[in-house]
Amino acid sequence: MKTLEEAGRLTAFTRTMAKQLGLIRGDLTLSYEGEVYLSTDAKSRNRILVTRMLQTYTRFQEFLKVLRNREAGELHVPVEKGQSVTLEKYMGIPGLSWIYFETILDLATQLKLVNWYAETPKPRNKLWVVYLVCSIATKNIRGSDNGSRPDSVDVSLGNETWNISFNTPTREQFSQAIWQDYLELTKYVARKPIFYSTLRNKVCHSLRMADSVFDTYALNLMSGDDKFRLVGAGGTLQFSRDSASMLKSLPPKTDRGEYIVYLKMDKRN
Amino acid sequence: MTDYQGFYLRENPFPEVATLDPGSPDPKVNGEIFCEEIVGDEMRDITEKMNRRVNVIYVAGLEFDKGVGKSALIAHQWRPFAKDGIITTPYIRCKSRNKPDDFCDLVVREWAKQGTLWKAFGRLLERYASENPSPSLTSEAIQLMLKTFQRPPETLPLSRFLHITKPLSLSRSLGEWMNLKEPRVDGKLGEFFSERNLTHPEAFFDGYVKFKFPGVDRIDLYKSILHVLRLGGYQYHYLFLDQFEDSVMPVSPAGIAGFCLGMRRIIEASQGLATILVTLHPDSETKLDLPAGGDLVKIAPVDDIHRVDVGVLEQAGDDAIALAKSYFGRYRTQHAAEPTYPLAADVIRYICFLEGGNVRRTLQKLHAVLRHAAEQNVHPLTMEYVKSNHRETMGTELQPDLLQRFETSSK
Repeated sequence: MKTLEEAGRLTAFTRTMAKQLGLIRGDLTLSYEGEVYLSTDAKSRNRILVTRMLQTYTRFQEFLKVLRNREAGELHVPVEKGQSVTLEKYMGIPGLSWIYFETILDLATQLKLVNWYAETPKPRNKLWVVYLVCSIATKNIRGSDNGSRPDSVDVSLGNETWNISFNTPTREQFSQAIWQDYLELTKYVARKPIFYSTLRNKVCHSLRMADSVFDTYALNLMSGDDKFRLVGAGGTLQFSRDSASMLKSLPPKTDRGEYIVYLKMDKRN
Repeated sequence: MTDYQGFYLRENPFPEVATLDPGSPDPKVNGEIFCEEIVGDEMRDITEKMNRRVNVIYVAGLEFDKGVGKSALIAHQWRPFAKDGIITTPYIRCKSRNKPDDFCDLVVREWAKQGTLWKAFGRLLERYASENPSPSLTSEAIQLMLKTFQRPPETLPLSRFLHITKPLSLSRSLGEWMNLKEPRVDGKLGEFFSERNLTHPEAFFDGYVKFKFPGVDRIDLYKSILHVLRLGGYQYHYLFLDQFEDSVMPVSPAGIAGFCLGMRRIIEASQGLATILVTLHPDSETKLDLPAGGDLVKIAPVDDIHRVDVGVLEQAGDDAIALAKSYFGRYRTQHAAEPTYPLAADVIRYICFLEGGNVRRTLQKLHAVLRHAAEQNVHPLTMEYVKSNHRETMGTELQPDLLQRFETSSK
């Protein structure tokens, strides 16, 4: 029964959001934008959602602005749940509660605008490292309109237009970065198992890219490479107390439906 | 009972459950059927490390946590490395609750079972007799006794060979003598060792597990036994701890420090006398890498010097064919035109592809497919047949995208 209630609530939220984003009309029929959204490819769908989200939700826009203005586009958010005032003060976004923050972060992560990982530099001092995985430029700052590149999107926001370029490294950059980060994590012992999500967090941070970009490149590298050998291995998933970290740390599955829990890497002779 | 005679096979050559049991008489599961062709690199690596007498060799699976053939590889190495009377290779199948103390006892139990302790005792007695000449203890009489009892007897009829009426007194002297020759052999252990072998050699281990004295634990006793064997002419030992990961995994994070400290003491006790080979999977490797595991991994790091990685079957190559051939060959009743008859080569490759190159799962699937062929009298069993009867042969519905990938990869 509880599950049914939850499903009902989720449907209601989704309906509200779809209306706010202009994808459906009040009578629950598809808008023109909604039809375009459904008929296009995944990349274009992502661009439509990014545009709509920024144009609709001011806190979402504020959140990205804060990140953009930080050095290296990075925030270290102390995890002090229940203390919204601190978070509001820290982020400088009025009315930002922890639940808003987590929601915005989840959505921005899925839209490949930001990425994050949890870190505990000192005992009882947990923080989330949140960083941009795209570059955001405003047209008036750039001074001229260069037009949108295939991996970017222009978003008109009143007085200014944001040009968002999604970071995607080359395969060569990726393979060098994953090898270096792998060696650092394994203390320079090749073929030592390392949790998939641990390596993904590190590489994504190094290259400022989204998890899905890592997954695509990693699976590609696993299917064969001249310089490196990357293999996945099964095992027990890493235990994590908070569900956000747990969901974030879920690795992709193999064709046989098994999670790639560990990665091992070596150079080819 | 399914009949395989029509396929020129005594029975289904592939195991239904492909887990290794070196003690089993069944060659399908005891590791006797082994395809060296597919693990050439791994065998060279492990042999080289064993020859160098690296203190600990970790045999780890490169992909998958189970079923890549780690146990089969070490069981294969276990047989040829034994050298009668000089090098021993006790093989232990670790269980989930085994601790380092248990490993020590299990190794001694293997030595008792293999007659290693009895042989060492015989040589020690001969040496003692030659250094302490006595009409009641002559070398000729001892040699006759050892020739008569090449395996440890249940009860040793000592008086039939030697003029010894008080074995306890001789045991004490032997214990003191051993301690004098090698101070690392505890005198009390030496005395116990001699007494059991002079009276009830076959039941040595029954007494050994109960044997204890203050300040000495099972690892200390294991160390003493190692030195007794050294005195008794044994030069080196390769201790195979198969399924070591099963013992590591249930250890709590708080208990891992104690476990690793115990392992470290075993390694220190074995220094220059024994190499320990263990199997590891990624979970257990990660567990040993915790700070608490430092005692073990600091003296035997899981690095290239100590680790041998076992890969999976090459899906694009002929590894699976070579593996299947080695099983078929063992069970043929007469020559077949095709070495994998009745299974077409691409069926075997397809099975390997579906199972991601995992040896265990490939063998098990081969068992199921061959059984289906025998029950339905299908021969040869081709890819066309598999495509039309995918659920019956492979156990799952046909996935066209997977099949396409297989066909592309095998071109």
